[in-house]
Amino acid sequence: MIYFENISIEFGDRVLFNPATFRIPDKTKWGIIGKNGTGKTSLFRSILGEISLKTGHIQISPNNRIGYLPQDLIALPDVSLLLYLKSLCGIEALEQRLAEISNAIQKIDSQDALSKLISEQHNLQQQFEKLDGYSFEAKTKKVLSGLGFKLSDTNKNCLDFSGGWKMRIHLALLLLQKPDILLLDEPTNHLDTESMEWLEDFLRNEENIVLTISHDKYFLEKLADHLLEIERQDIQVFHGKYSAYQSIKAEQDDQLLKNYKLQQRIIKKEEQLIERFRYKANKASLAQSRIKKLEKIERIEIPEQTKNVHFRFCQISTHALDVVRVVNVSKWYEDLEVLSNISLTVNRGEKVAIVGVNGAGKSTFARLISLSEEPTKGTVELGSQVKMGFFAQESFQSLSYEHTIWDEIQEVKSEMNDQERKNLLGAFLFHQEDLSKKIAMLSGGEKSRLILCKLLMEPYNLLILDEPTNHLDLETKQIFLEALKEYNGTLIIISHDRSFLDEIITKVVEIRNKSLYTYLGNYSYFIRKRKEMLTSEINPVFSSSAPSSSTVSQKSPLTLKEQKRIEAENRTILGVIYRKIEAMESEIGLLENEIQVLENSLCQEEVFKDGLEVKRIKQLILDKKDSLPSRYERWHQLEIEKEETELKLEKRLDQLKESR
Amino acid sequence: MMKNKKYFKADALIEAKDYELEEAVDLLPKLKTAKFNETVEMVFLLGVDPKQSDQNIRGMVSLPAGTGKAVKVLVFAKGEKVKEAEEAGADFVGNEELAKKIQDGWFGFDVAIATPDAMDIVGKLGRVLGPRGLMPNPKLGTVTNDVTKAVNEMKAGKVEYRVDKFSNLHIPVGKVDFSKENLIANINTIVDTVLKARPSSAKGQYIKKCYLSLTMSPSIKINVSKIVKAAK
Repeated sequence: MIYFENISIEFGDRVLFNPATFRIPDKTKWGIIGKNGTGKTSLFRSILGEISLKTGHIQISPNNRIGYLPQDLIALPDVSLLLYLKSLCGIEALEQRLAEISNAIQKIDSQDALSKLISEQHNLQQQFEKLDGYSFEAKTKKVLSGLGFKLSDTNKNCLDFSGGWKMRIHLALLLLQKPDILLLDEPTNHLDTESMEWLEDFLRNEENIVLTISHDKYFLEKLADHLLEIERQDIQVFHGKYSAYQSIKAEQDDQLLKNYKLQQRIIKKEEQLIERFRYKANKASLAQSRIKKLEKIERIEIPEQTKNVHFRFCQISTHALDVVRVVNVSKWYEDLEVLSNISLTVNRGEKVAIVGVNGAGKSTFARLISLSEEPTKGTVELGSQVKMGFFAQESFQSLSYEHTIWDEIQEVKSEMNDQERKNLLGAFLFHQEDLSKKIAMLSGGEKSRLILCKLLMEPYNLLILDEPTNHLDLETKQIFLEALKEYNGTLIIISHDRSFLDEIITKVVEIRNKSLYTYLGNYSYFIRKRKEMLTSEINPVFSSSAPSSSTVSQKSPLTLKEQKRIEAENRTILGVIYRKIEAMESEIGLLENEIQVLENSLCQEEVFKDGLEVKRIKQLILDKKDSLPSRYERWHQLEIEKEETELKLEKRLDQLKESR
Repeated sequence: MMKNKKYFKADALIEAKDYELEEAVDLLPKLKTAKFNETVEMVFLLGVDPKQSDQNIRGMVSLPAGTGKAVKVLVFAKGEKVKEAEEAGADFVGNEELAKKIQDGWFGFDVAIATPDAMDIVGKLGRVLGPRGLMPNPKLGTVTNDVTKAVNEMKAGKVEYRVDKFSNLHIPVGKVDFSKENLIANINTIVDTVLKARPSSAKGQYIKKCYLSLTMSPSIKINVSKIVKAAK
């Protein structure tokens, strides 16, 4: 059990949270939620004893071992993965000492020394059993495979793993060490969907206390039975699932907002009254008593989310239809082939998610299409007039830790003036008083927010975002999600956040076995199709026009039947446009004919002698002529649409033929 | 365990109450459903935290009426101790050749004893014997120079007990065909041993629950306070 008695934390003049008392019972699973920078990580660090409390104390049983997974990357030694895990779990040292004792017993003569050694051997043996030393390798392999490692990875050097995998190594270590209290700071940031699901199940079956900071709704819902919310410098305890918390929270917020509005009305009324009577001698005492009363009122504060702070992307310029063209691209890192002969075209306005397990090559692909890296083979081209913004995982490194937030924003070359910059910062929940904060003092989420803010200062029409939601709190994520929904440029996004992707994505590109597989649908559709494929082990079938039921596999051959079907579907799409053009042409023809007939009628004697009739016919001709230009315009648009669609469908068919 | 008709029939004989020890021992033969001579087993739920090294209860106890089971004893010994072990009645005696046999997957023994000078051979078998609970251990008296005494004790009915990770302690107390007196004598010895093994750091009630059962029967709940009093 952990008992927090009257704890509060302050950094200089910044109060993280006011005194709070609560307890975390044994074997319970807790989610810690709150906006970025509210002190979630600081709470963990106070449990670890790394930062001192302003008031109160934290009681933890002295026998309890604490395991902590930090947000930032951890340095690993130059040894194999299995050896690293064995040595950190204490198994390696025990094995070594037991082997030494076995050898020493053979050589020893003295009876006393022999019994000492046997006693030590027995004690070590007990420790070894307690640490599950006999089944350690089997357990390690189970944990590692659950976290997505391959069997062969156990002999791989720790330094050869990428950043995300290093975090997983640390997570695996914690799961194997089985600490009594497990503190996880955003553990899902570096995990793919499968590993995340495995981790949820694993942690649920563990008997220790789990405290996890997370902004992943699904993860919190599945894992946590209790929540700690840090909001407006207060720690609130909620016993229940995340979904229950959300509905109660929404009700509370509604009520709070109502009370806030009511209070504001009362205050305004009082102020008006005071203003009216303040300068009247006979009513001055009344005004004074009202002022005092007003001062005594405990002002209701509403959470910032209810203040409707949000941002919009800048308006974007028009650009080519093909935004990104990747043709027969391969990428090698020395002897390691990451991507093999892939092709992809991203069209204007598409919202594409790049998914795949860790290490599949998603970030490599993002770097290739953002032109940050050259492909080993093939070409990557951006369409004309395409202005690209790229948010990389390692973007934190681009921030200068000595700068303040305002310094960092001012360094961006943008047409925005200072006020506009401040408005944008405000939309990203950075307030006036935050602007002088040093970058070094910012939490992971705040740094992410700042980088996204910098990214939006220029009107990009293509955004490539590599894990943008890592470290973002639920509120900022929601704001960011809403903005992305309204963004009418092209979006390519790498993320493992299921709820986030589901709402914005129209197309999913999976990187698997160095190849690309396209799914024309949202993320749930992709998951469903992927499961179907795994269970049936049948090659996916492609259908270009029906997004709700189509998948693409580059490796399956395009049969004549499929080609004919695709052509037929293309004809159906084009048929609709052809029919519209025909209808418009006949309408225009009819109008022109009518005008011709009316003009001819003006030459007839019975008409031109009748002045009124001439006037009426002229008016009719004028009306009909007025309606003609809009019809011409519409016809012209339809012609352009027809050409573009023909080109697009042709290209898609060619690409399919090439890629298969 | 798969519950069948016989099980439910036996279960109907047990009342929902805390039995006196003698009453429970009387009831045991009526619960017998299997065709073989079933073992009587006692289970305690203890108020200890097995994660703490000082609360990890483990030891051996000699049952006055034996276990009713022929125990096969293996002795790792060198020199003249080999002969001594053979004379004491050990079923298997040897050193390197036995170690090799065990490493190849042979486990035809119930208890392993080792003389201290043979521990260099046994040490290498930790990975094989450890998980099966067969590793000789000085605290259990299975690493000793007095091989004769150790073999005799084992043959006479010395049983090992250890608390599992859920704080349960399982221990065989005899066979269902034992006389009532013999069973009660064994049970009293066990209760006494378990009480003596109470770690000083254990908090609260030490023996929380106690049950008696046969290999294939439902269990009978025993009145803990009475057996504790009787053992004292």
